[in-house]
Amino acid sequence: MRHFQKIAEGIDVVPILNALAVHSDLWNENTLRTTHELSPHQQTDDIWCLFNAIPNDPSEVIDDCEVIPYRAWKEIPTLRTLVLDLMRRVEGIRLGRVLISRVPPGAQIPEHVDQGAPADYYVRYHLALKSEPGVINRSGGEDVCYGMGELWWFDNRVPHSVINNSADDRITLVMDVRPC
Amino acid sequence: MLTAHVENYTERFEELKSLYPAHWEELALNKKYVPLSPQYNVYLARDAAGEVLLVTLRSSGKLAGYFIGFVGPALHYSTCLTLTMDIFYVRPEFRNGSAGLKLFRAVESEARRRGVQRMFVGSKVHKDASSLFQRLGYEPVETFFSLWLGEPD
Repeated sequence: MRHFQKIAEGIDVVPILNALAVHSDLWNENTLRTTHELSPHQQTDDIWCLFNAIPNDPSEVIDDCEVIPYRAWKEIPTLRTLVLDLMRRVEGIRLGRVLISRVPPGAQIPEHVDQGAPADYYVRYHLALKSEPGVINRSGGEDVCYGMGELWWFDNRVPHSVINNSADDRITLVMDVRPC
Repeated sequence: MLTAHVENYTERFEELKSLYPAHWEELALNKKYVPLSPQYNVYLARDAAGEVLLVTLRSSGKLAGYFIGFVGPALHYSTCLTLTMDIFYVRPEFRNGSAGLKLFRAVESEARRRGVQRMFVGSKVHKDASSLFQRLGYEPVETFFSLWLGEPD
């Protein structure tokens, strides 16, 4: 595989899933990423943990590498611990966007290539919080079905997409990391 | 929605086994004398050696079909990386005309990704899938015959 690399497995994600169940009001507090006209993520739900401050002209976000904490970052301590542990694992020196993405059963993220300065500056990791057989994560023509608790690097600079043809949500913690 | 997935045989081992009885019932030969009894240890060993190619069909996560084949240099042609089909099956309720195409297009795609140069597939005469393979552009190249010789003395 050239567009996916498993970094770790067996990560205990149940505390995060528990927090998401308790704090279900966090979903879709911020919808810029999932509702803008050209977004490939229109069928998905977001929780922003670290994300850009939204300027008066939201289109400026695309080239902004600086992030600020949002409510989930403050209210789910176990999330911070996990993300910082993963930073050590991948030898990151700077965190970019950190968000939780939910793709409902039957939903898709159509093929796209991530654009803008953050995509150039950071590399992208996915921690699978919930993923069942039937999910296709596709990048560069390669397919992977993440297992729950697996951390993957994936290539977001080539055409990539998601199809959730499983019977449950596909939930991933999305992390942008600047490597050493 | 019906989708094709390249999956790991060992990870999906138990789930695959759940479809084998229906597959055997519909397609096996000499069923009265030859029960379903796969050599699972051989499959698992070959998977551990990286030789098994599994593609599944799924609908809302549920297994709707599968293709299992073996990848390796051909015995007579060591320079030719070959995919040889072992079995394929699609549950009857999903045989709507496109399931087989989806399955075998995904098989071809994964085989190409793995550097396979030639693949061999086939179907039972009493459940002929020739039209599927012809639609995919495959050439008929060989015919197999079988003779039941009975139990040993």
